[in-house]
Amino acid sequence: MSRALPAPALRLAWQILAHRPRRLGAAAAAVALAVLIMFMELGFFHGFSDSQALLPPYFDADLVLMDVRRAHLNEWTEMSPVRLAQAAALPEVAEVVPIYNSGMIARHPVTRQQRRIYTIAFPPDAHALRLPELAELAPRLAVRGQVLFDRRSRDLYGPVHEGAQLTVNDHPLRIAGFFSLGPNFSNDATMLMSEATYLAMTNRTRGAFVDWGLIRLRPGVDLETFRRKLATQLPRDTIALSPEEMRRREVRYTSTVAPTGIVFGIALAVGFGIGVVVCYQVLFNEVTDHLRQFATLKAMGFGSGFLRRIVLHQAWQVALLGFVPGAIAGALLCLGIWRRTGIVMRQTPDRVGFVLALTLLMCLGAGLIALRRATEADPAEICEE
Amino acid sequence: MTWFLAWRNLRQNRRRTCAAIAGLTFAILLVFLQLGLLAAVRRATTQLYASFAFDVMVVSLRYEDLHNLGEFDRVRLMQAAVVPGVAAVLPVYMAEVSWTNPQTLQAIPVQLVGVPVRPDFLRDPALRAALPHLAGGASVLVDRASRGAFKHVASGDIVLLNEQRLRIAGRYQQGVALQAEGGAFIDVDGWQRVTGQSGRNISLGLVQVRPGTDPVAVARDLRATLPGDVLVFTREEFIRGEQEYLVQVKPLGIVFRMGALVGCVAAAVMLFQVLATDVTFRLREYAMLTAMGFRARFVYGVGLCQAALYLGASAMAAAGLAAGIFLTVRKITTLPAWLDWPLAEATLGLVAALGALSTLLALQRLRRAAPAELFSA
Repeated sequence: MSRALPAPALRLAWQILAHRPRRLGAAAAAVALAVLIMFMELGFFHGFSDSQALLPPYFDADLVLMDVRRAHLNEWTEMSPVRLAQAAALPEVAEVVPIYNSGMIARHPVTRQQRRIYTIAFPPDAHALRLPELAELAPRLAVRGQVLFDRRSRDLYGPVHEGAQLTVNDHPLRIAGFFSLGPNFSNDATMLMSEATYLAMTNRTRGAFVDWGLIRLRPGVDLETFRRKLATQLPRDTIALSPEEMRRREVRYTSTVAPTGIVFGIALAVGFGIGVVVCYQVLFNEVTDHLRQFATLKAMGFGSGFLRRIVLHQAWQVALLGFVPGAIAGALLCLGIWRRTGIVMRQTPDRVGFVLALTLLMCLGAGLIALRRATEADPAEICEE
Repeated sequence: MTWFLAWRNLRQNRRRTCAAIAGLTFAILLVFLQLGLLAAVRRATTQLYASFAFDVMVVSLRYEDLHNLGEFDRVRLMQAAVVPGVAAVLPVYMAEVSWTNPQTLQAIPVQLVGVPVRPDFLRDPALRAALPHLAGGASVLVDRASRGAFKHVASGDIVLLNEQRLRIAGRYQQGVALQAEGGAFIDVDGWQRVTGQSGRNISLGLVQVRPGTDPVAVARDLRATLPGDVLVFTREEFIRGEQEYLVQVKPLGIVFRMGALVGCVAAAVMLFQVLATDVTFRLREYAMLTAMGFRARFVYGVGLCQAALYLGASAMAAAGLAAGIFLTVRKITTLPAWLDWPLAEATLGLVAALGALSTLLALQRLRRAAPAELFSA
C-alpha cells in the first residue's frame, strides 16, 4: 500500500485544493500576478529591440547592400551607387533597387517646434517595401511632393489626414495616403516618398549617394553561392545582408547598446521571486491546514513519498491555474501598451513557453521548500488539540 | 502592549512570517527598481546639460534634442552678453563624430563637445581640472562611462575622430546618452579641425546671470532682445522639458510606471493575504481578548501594528537590495541609478497608501471576533 500509484496522489492533491474554492482562487490570482509581471517585463525587453527592428522584414529583397559602417538603422552612412551598379552587373541579379533614408525635420504648423520624421525614399514603381497599402498607393508617390505617412506615428506633427500639408526641411509636402509601420524608441514618425521628391529636397542628383540597395536574384540562383561571389566582387566597404539578418543585427545591436537586458531582466527576476514566495505561502498554508489529514494518511501506512507527491502535484496545479489568467492578462496588457505607445509587444509561442517554464519552475521550487513541513507530519499530531 | 502582542504574534510562526516578509520585500523591491530606473533614465538624458554651470540656455529654433541640436549664429550670444543681468556667456559646439574602431573598422558614433577653455562653466571637478590640457586643440578628454570598445581607449593613446589624429589628455566620468556610444570634450580649435566647420555657428549658448539676479527675469529679457531664430529657457525649464519628452513621448514613462503599479498591487495583495490568513488563524484568540474586556480598538490596533511591522521590515530589506542592484546597474550600464530620498519617499508613500487600504480590508474580518465565536467551532 505504501507504493501507491501516482494517480491517487494526483486526485487527492486536486481534491484538497478544490475543497476551498475561494482560497484556491486567491492563490491562483496571486500566481497570476507574478506571471503578469514576468510577461510584462519580457514584453518590454523584446518590445524595445523588436520595435527598433520593425523595418527590415518589409524589404522586398533577397539581399540588402549597405556601407560596412552602417551598423544599425539609425546610422546614416551612405554609399556610392557604383556599388549598386557593380552588383547589378552580375548575371545572377535580376534587379537592384536604390533606397534613400534619412531623418527629415517637420515643423509643427502651430507651435513651430521641430520634430524629426524618419524618411524612406525609393522609385515608386519598384515595390521596395512589402507594405500592403503600398501596392495601391505607390502611384500617388510619382507626383512630386506627395508622401505616404505612417498612421501609427506619434501625435507631434499637427493635423495629419489625407491632403494635409506638412512642412518638411522647409519644403511643402502633401500627405497622399497612409500605411502602418509603427514608431520606436528612435523614431516618432515614418514617411515614404519617391526617389525624385527625395533628391529634390536634398538638392542631390541621382547617382550621388544611396543608403541601401535591394538586390533581387533571378529565379533558381542559390543565395549562399551568390553571396560568396558578391563578396569577392565588391570591395570591403560594402556588405550584403538578408532582411532577416538585418533584423537580427538590429535586435542584437539594440540589446547590447541600450541597457534593456539588465533593466528588464532584473524586474523579471523580481517577478519570479514574488511568484516563488507566493507559491510557497499557498502550499505551506495548504499543508499546515491539512496537517492532521497528512498525519492520518501516514498513520494509515502511506509513506513520505506519497505525501511529497501530493504537495508537488498541488504545486503544478496551482501553477497552471495561475498561469492561464496571468497569460491572458499579460496579452491584454501588451495589447494596451502597443495601442498607447506603438511599442510592439508580441506574445510569441516561445516567449509564452518561456514564462510557462518559469512559472512551473517557481511553483515546483516553492513546493520543494514546503515539502519539509508535510513530511514532518506525525501520526501523533492527530491527537493534538 | 499593542506592539508587544503584535510582535509576539509575528514571532509565533516564524516560517510564515519570514515568507510573508520575503514576498513583500520582492514586491516593494519591484517598485523601488522601476521608479529608480525611471529616475536614472531621466537623469541620463540631461546629465551632459546638467554638468554645465549655467542659469539660462539659448538654443536654435531648430533644436529637437541632444542628438539634433540645430545651430545658431554666435552673434546671438554676443547680443545676449549685453542684456542687463547677464554676467557671462559661453558658446558650446556639439557634433556627432565617428570614431573608427581600428580592430573592426566599424564607425562608432561619439558625441564631441567643443568648449572654450573656461573651467568656471563646468561643474565636474575632474573635468575642470583637466580642461586646460585641451588648449591647442590637439587633445581630447574621453568619457570613462562610454560604451563598447570606446571605453577602453586610455590616456596617452592616439584616436581617430573623423579621420583626425588626436591625443587623449585625460578621462572623466559622466555617461553618454542612448544614441551615442562615446563622449569626448575638445577645445574649440580642435572641434573646428575635426568637424571641418568654421565655428561661426554654435549648438548651445550658456548664460550665467549676476549674483542676486532672477534667471526667470533675465530669460524674459533675452527672449525680448534676441531675434526669433533662437529659443531661451531657464535651467529648470530646459532640463524638465528634455526629461518630459523622454518620459511622455518616448514611452519610457509608461513602461516603468506600469511596472511600479503592478509591484504596488502585488504588495497590497500579499499584505492582504498574510493579514487575512493571520486574522482567521487567531480569530478565537481575538474573541478571547474581547471576552476578557479588551476594546475593539485594542484588537484592531494589534492588527495594524502587525501590518506596520511587516511593511517596515520588508521596506528596509527592499531598500537594501535596491541599493545593491543600483550599484550593479551603475557598474554594468553606466545608467546613473541611485537610491536617494525622493525615490525612497515616492516608493514608501505608494506602498504605504496601498498597504493601508489592504490592511483595512483584511481587518474587516476582526468584526467576527465576538465572544460568541469561542463556542462556534
